[in-house]
Amino acid sequence: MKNRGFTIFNYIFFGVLAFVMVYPFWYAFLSSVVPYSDLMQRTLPIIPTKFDFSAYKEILVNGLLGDAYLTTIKSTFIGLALSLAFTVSGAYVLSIEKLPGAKIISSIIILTMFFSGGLIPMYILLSDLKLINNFWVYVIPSLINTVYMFIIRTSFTDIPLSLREAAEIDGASECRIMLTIYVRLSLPTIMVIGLFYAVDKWNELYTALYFIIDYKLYTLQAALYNLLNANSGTGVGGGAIKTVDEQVKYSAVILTILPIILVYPFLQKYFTKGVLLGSVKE
Amino acid sequence: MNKIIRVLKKYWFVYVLAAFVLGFYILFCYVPMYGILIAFKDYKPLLGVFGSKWVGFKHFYEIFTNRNLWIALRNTLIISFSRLVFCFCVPMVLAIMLNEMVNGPVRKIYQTLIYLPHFISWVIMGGIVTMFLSPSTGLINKLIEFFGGEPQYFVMKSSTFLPVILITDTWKNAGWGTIIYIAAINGVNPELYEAAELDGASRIRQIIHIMIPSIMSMISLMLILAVASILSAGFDQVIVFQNNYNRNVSAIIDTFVYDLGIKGAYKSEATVVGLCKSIISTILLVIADRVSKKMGQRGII
Repeated sequence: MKNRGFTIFNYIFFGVLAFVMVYPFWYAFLSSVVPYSDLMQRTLPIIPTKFDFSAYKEILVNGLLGDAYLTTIKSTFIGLALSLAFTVSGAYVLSIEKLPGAKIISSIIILTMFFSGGLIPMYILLSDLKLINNFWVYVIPSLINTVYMFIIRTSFTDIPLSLREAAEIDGASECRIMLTIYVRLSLPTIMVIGLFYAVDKWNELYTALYFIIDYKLYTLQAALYNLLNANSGTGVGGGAIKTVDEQVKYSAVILTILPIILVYPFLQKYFTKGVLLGSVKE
Repeated sequence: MNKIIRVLKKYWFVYVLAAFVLGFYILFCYVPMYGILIAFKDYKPLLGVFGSKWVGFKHFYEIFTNRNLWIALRNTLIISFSRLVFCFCVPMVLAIMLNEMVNGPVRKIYQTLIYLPHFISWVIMGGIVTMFLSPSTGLINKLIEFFGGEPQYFVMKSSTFLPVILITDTWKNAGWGTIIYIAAINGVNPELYEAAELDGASRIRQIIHIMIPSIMSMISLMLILAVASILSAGFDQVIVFQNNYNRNVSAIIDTFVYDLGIKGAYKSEATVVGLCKSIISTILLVIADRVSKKMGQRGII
């Protein structure tokens, strides 16, 4: 017995909710392409009246975010490749129950999920390793996300042992078994985790705020943080940019979210899958 | 001996992988744990962690008599508990409502749209909100003026900081949070509903007596995680809304450590705070886990 009134309410409710949640992004887009004076003539602008790409030009020509874009793209790709290599390796090690020493290895790793040294000891370590104000700080300290590693491990342990035994009888090496059986059969899961790593890297903010001094090495998010706070003087280094036009700010916002908005609709189901994998109990 | 050689011959590749992975964990997780020692030392960068002088609990005393720490603790607890009260249940309610909708294209579109904010970083969310709420040019204040009100400095005022945090948190995470609840709801045995329907239970009664008890383990799991992270009020989110005007309510433990140890030079004092936070969080996690298991739900340890 479905209640008709509730059904109608439900559709309207989620329609309004979805609109409220997405409209601010659309508004940011409008603000970036429509001259400010035009935008204010209506209370709730929906469709652009006329286009003015001068703010985009200013960002692209002056290279306002150029360095940050390069740094972020570099850290996303290098970080993704190295993180996946380490994470898959770790997951493979943890998936072999017969491995002598497996218990010790997994205890060493699990303990770190419950206790950590904290920010300052990390800072001291990184400065000892000469990683402060160094591009590699975006990649190396975050090579492995333990939760992601356990998700891949679960997918490895779901693969029937008989496949491994058959390969062992054929004389396949461990390296071969890992790549041709485990990695190949778990590829969908590994790709989902890769997607998560990529988004994490793209949205990286606090590594830059904590461990980078030179603005040239800032990630997109950190550069944007400075840009957005340029006028209010609350940015970490508000002095770098003096005053910034609202339209330029909105354009910078749009340029930063564009890659995510473009790929998101096609990859949404993989993201959803990733969350469900994460909630599986170890 | 022979056995060891046989094991090494078979698994040498796996041990090489393990060495790399453990090397990472030892360097970036265990070495910082050793670095905690500076909480009990007068840390001088030139002397290093090992060479700095022992001072016992001096920094503990200093930091616990620092008024700003207690302000940060109060703010952290206020933000975290408000999140538990106002934000925790929203994804669950949305998931139950979404589940009542026919699984068709309309629902798919709604879901795609409400998941979207999760992928936008806090810097951008914060930037958009700040511009939205701007007293001179922001849309919200234009609307307020349109209806004859006075423009408000939302992001500059202490009184509106907490609502801004809670609303933007819901905006970013409520939609995404529905995913696991929907999965849990889908896992409920449909025969239970059918049996209840035969007994004449209305849909609302079915939700209360069958659906919610069935997803209780998921709810308790989320609750454990929320309780364990009560001392982290969300650095990324708070720092984008923090400014000199609202610092009295927006300084949280994480920003306090950041200001003290990274922007400032009080490395030892900041480590004391980090250490205490880490210990308390671990204890909270264990307690929440035990309580959950006592109440017959699954734990995470």
